[in-house]
Formats: sequence, structure tokens, C-alpha cells
Amino acid sequence: MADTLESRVGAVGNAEDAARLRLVAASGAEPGVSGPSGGGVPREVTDEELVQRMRHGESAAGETLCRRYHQSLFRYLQRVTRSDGLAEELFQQTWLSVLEHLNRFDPAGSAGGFKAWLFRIATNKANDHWRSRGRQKNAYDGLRRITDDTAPDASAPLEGTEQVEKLKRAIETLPEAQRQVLMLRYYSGMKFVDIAAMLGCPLNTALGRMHKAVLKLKSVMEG
Amino acid sequence: MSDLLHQLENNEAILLMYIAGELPDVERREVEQMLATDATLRSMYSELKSAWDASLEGIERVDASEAMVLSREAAARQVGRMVRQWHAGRMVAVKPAEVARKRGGVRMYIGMLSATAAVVLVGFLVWWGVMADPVRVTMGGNEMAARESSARPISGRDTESVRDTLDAIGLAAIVPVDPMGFSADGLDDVEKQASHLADLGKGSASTTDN
Repeated sequence: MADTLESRVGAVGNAEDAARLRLVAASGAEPGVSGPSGGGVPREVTDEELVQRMRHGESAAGETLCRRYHQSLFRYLQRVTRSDGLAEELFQQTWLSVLEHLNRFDPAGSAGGFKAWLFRIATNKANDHWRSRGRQKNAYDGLRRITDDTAPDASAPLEGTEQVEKLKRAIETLPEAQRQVLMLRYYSGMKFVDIAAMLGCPLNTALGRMHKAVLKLKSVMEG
Repeated sequence: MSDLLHQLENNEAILLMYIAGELPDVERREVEQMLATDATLRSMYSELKSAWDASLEGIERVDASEAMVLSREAAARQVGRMVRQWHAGRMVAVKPAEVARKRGGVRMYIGMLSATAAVVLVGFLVWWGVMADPVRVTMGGNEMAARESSARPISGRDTESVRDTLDAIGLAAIVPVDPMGFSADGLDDVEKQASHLADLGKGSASTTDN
């Protein structure tokens, strides 16, 4: 999948090492933290500043943003799609879409800032995918249930993983709407009001889905 | 009860908003007061809070058990390349637009120059035509000269002189010499036919006399 992206994106040049150096802290701080400001205290570059730099073609700013949200975004897509390959594909599509619509991003008008915007795009990508491949998804789900029941992962260690496997399966078998609300809340940290607005449902509906999802997961963990 | 709490349909929704820390301070204090006085709500809160914590912990454990398929650095490199290509693409798209705009400006400039030249030329031709009109030239002046001039038939030489002028400025092929469609040769023919008819008239008169 990475190869696919590499061939799609290609290398355009690497003229931004200086910019990268500015973005990465000199003393081993997290990427995304700039050099000292004021009395030597590192100041974290805001998402909005990075977006602004990205608009001017600074690839290092994009890399920093990606590092910042890589784990939460990828895990979110993994949980929502229940497929590593698809999650990777949608991850790339999400960033391509971010660039495509970068000039439309308005930090003031976007509740939750860049992160919420990023997850909104990712959610739309996932929904678009399911809409366009509804039938395939159903077939895939059916196949997956069969293979999961009949052929457990031989490479997985047996001790200490049983509950994790149950949990994973419980998450996967949550109704899509419940899973989406739970994962958005967990990975994006968005407020329920914003999640409801993003999913186009009333706040009470989003809260109801969350309520059912957490009760179900708890029962699995206790069971 | 405040507006936001009013909007929430049930206690579960209120408690979830409270647990998530999404209630404003006023509403938060209100819920805390309710919890302090309502044992049933307190029990519901405990159950929901433990389910919330268990779910988040469960997701965390699932995440910890799985390696990331796409490493952070690999993903960052991909996005870096995307940004570079996106920026290069934008630059390529902008340049032709600028060139087209410049070309459009030059074309407009040439068009305006051509239009101005055409207006000047037409003005010159009108002026020349007025000056060449014998009646207008003599208006308010020499009546005799006017009469002589107007009495003089249009000859091929007049149109020849117009043609010579147009030749000189390179417009002979474009501008008609005579708006009525007579050519210099045509006028010469008319003159010849008229003199021939006059000769015939003279001849017949002498025959009658004889």
C-alpha cells in the first residue's frame, strides 16, 4: 500500500530540510515542537501555524501534523473499517483530501480545530467507502465472521490475550453507528455536540449510541 | 434546569455529558447537586462511569496489543511527499494562468491600437473626401469656380487620384475607390461612349443639312 502511495505521490524534491529543522526541537523534544521561545522554554507549534506553513508548501509542516495525529487517526480508521489495508488506504486518502481542501480550512469556523477537521474528513472517507462498496462490505463481513470463528490466529500468544481478543471482537461487532461515536470520542477527543453535528444526528442520538456501546463493552470485559 | 440539560432527553445523556466533561460550569454544578441529593442517580452515575472507564481501557488494551501497520515515520514521509507534490502541482497550474493573462493583455493592447488606427484612417478618408468635393470646397466662396467645378463631369482621373492615395498608404485592396461602384475604367468608358454619341449626332446633323 505504501508503494502505491509512493508511486502516486512521487518525490518532488527535498528542499525543506531547514524548515524541518525549525519544526523539530533541537534537544530531542517531540517533533512538532519548535525551538526555544522566550526564556528557553520550547513552544509547541499550533496546528493552525502548521497548516499555514503547509499552505506555503512546507512539507515538514505536513510531516509534523501527520506525526501528531498518526496514531489516533490510523487507529480510528482501523477500528471503523476493521481492516488494516483499508485503514491504510483511507489514511492516505484522508491526507490527500486534507491537501485538496487545505485552503478551505478555517480554524475560526471549524469547531475542534484541525484535529476535528481531519477526523471529519476521515469519517467522510470511510462513509464514502462503505456507501460505494455496501454489498462487498456485507459479503466481507460474512466471510470474516466465518473465518474468525473457524480459524483463530495461530501466531497470537495464548496467554493474556483472550480478553483482548474478546474486546476486539466486541468492538468489531458493535453496530456501525455506535462504534463510530465511540471511536470518534476516544480517538479524536471531539465533543459529543461536534460528533453529532458531524454525523448529522441529534445530540441525544449520539449520546444514546455511546451509552449502548460502553455498556456492551463493559459487559464483555466483565464476562 | 438550564437549557443544555433541558435538551438532554434522559439522565443517561446528562451523566454522559457530565462524565465527558462537556457541561459548562453552571450545568456541571447543577448535576453535582442532583447527584448529592439523588441516590438513584448516583448509582446510575457509578455504573455509567465504570462502563465508560472500562471501554476506554479496553480500547487502549486492544491498541497496545496490535502493532501499527503503518509506522509514524513512514506515514510522515508519505505526507511530506504529498505536500511537495501538491505544492509543485499548484505552481504548475498557476504559471499557465499567468502566461494566459499576460497574453490576453498584449492582445487587448494590439486590438486597441488597431481600432485607433482604423478610426484615424476613416477620419482621414472622410476629411479627404470632403476636401475633394468641389461643391463643399467652394461653399460661401467663389460661385463661378463652383459652377465650373460642378459642371465638370467626373472623370477617371479623379478616381485614379484616390486610388493613388490608397496605394500610397497600402489600403488600395481594402477600401473601395468609389462607393457607388464605378471604377475609373468604367468612367472612361462612359466618357468615350458620350463623345461617340456626340460625334454620331454631329454626323447625322450634317447629313440632314446635306
